[in-house]
Amino acid sequence: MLKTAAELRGDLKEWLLKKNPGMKPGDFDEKTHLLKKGIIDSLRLMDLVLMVEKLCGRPLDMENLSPAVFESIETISRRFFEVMS
Amino acid sequence: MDIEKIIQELCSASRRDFADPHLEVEWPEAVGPEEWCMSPELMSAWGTPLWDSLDEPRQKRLSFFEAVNFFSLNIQGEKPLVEGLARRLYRRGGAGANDYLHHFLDEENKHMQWFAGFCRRYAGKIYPDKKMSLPRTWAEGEEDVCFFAKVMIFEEIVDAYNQRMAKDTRLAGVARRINYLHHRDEARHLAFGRIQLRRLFKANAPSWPAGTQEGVQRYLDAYMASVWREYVNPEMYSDAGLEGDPFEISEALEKDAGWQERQRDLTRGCVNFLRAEGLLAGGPAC
Repeated sequence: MLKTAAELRGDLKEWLLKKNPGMKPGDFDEKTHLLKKGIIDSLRLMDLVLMVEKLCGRPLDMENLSPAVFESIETISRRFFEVMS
Repeated sequence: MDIEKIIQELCSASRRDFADPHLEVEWPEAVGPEEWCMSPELMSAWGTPLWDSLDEPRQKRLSFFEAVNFFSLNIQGEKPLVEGLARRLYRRGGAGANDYLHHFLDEENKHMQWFAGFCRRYAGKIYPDKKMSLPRTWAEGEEDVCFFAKVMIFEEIVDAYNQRMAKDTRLAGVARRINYLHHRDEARHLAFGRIQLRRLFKANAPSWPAGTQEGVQRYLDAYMASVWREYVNPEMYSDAGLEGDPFEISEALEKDAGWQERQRDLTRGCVNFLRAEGLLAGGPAC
């Protein structure tokens, strides 16, 4: 069964916490700027792209994407998860 | 040996091997399903239960898409390389290197034509780049050091594959030929890259603020991991028709001990060089 956008956002947050073992769930929310907060950096951005692809179950169209799309869990959800629900 | 003299010798070798990209490769109508396009021992699934579950025709089909992925990531790695080399042409203080940068650019452009020739003719696609760059601030000379160190990591890995596959007579002739041609030029690029990287690091690192060198080490370590991640691209498992979730297959192979051992084997020389120079943390790789 397909997951809802809220479930996918939860999965994404869980993955981000796993990638940042020093952080606790209350340290950031869906609006937090992942890049400015250092949760994701330049080289980890590729991991995030791959994770979003995994959650969506399909490759992303990289030619039309800018890093701004991956700014927060909320922007990612709006662009990729909510269009699936 | 004098650095300028080495660079001039590299230029002479490039002139000697100067190639017309339209004549160097004979393109067959198709690559047959009975042919290997990657050496099985270099493939991501080699030695895993997944590999054992595939019969030979399916292993060969996977080898075709692994080759398309390998050639695609060469293209995706060479595009920013060409951009970066062009930006560094005719900079102050780079007199001797300029002559060679022209050959470097010319040869990288040809490589992309060969790689794209294979991918587009036989697979009708080039796998896209998943990397994105973010703007950041650098210490004096840090960006140049990181640029040439990344070039070196990327090229050393692909050359390790090229060297082995250029000699592998099991491979389809066109795949073997592209690997051979790439290795022929890369041997020079790698020699130049080591000279340039050592020179830039020695000239800049002493004036870097505290913590910069450690930051570079972490950055390059993460870069190497991201390069390897592209060798287990889920799209190729999906295109090869493997059963199961291609993302799960990719993640499982990435964690496979045999695959990690092959990575260490293929990068040993490069890692030892970078560690000896202080560009990666740690002692010599076993």
